[in-house]
Amino acid sequence: MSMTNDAMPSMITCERSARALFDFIDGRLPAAEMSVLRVHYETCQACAPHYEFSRRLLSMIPDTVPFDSDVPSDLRARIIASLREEGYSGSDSDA
Amino acid sequence: MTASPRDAEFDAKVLAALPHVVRFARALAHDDSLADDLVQETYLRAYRSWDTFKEGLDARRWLFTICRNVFLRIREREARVVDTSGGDAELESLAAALEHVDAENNGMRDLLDRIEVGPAIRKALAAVPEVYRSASILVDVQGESYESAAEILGVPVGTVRSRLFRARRLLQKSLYEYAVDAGIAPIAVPPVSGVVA
Repeated sequence: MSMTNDAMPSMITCERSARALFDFIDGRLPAAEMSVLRVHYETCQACAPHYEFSRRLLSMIPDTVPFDSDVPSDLRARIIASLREEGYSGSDSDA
Repeated sequence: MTASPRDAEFDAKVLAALPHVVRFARALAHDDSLADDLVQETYLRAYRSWDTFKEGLDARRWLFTICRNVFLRIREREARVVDTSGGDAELESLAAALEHVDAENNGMRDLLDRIEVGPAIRKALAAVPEVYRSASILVDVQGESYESAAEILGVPVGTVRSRLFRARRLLQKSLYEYAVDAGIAPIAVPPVSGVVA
């Protein structure tokens, strides 16, 4: 476990790495800080498992609610029917 | 039927986004029947409000905002959950650091290899209060930027960041509990809330 203060950019505390975990995964930190954190997550025995778990988990989330460009026809029909009652004149063929 | 110019534009900008709204509603509602109702109501409201839609705005974001508002109205009780993340993820930093220490002992690294991930994540996400879950759905499921999510939710970007932080912590906690219930993780669950023991 690396221990230092935030004033030393070449090293980083585990608490700081925990706080920055999601910002790091989302790539929302300055390049220099990303670089330092990357080394920490790859080498710190305390932080590496949590980083790896978090990174993998976030990468898996989109697949749990898959995108389907083909909306079920009955749902589409329901929507169009309800819009027609409001005076909708469009065609659902392009939807 | 020949579409009026108004409705032709509605088709091109709003109906074209239907698959995205369906996905968003299903992630939000965790119930396909409720999600379908949400989508239908979203499109009704969008159609009724179409004249107020400003040229240049992103129709998909507008639809997500409507959809979430409809959902919150349906689930008013859940909507009353107060955002306690306070716009500052610092509150959770020590608890997060403690998780680091416990992670190895709890087998966190391998947890995702030992559970049926899809159902587990869906169930865990459903357990996250809506105020945090919406941020996670927009960013983690829909792939929206923090800035876009902030616009959809009507909050500052910093609030999106803190809600995401809380949502992801809660998601991890729920996954642990799921694994414990399934007998594939030890019962010791690391602290996740902002309260430091």
